[in-house]
Amino acid sequence: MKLPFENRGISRRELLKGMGAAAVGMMGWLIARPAEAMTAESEAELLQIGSPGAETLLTSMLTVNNQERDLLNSTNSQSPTLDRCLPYGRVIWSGRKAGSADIQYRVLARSTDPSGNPLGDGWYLVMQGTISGPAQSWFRVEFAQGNWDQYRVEVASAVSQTVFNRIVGVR
Amino acid sequence: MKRTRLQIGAPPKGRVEVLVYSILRVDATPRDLLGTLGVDTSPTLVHCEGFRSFVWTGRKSGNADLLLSVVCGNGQNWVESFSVPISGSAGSWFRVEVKPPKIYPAYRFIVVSGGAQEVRSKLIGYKQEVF
Repeated sequence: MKLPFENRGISRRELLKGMGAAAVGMMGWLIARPAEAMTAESEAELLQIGSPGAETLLTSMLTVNNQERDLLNSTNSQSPTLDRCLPYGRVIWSGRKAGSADIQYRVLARSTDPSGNPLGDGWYLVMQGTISGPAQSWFRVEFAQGNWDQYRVEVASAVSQTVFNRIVGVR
Repeated sequence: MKRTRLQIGAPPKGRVEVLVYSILRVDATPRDLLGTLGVDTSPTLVHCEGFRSFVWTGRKSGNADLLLSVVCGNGQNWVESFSVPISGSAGSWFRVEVKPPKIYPAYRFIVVSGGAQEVRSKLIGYKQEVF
């Protein structure tokens, strides 16, 4: 017996793979079926996993040490990590830390004028905290407030380590 | 050809719109975000039936506290009001969530300050309940 999604040319294995991806927070990925599995009836179909309003805003790989820097490796405290984020009511940062040392982080935000320039210097502190976990562990941080224009995400670690990051915004 | 789309997950929500940008010199005299003087005079926002809540963000140049007062009504008769104090040092940022008890067509956002200072701010409106 075929399940409904299999009638559309999606195998159970593909669906389970997609569900697994969604479960680890990889929202917004569009998984198109392999070309050989497509039929004339359903060639326009897409299987969309996760929230349809989610968009990837940043991916980065960063060496973090005891000097505060943002996820783009900028140590300029006035430099935003994310810009034009007003439409996103939720912003979710997930990643993987290579070392076992804690990572201290701060999420800062500010508003911009119609030209995209900040209303002033400095930042509003949205949240701060510590990411703990053994080496090669994953983490997830959801920003406490959404719909700011700009965000700066600063990180530091007492022991140098590599951190892989991804930030998604949900409208 | 049959065209279908399998959508998993909730639809987008929390639509937001920018309503006011403001650079305002504030002091002890009540004035709204558009700079007009008075407490219950002309509305700052009209045709707001579609908005459920608001967020006012900005930056204050001085140390004096601010007081944001919001009066609600139809633009001629103001029937409800509430106030939110804002503290912070010179150059600090603020964020105020404003959720009126019910939806009104018009609002007046009034600011007073214990000392003269400049306030640069932005008011956004939410079309759905978000907080």
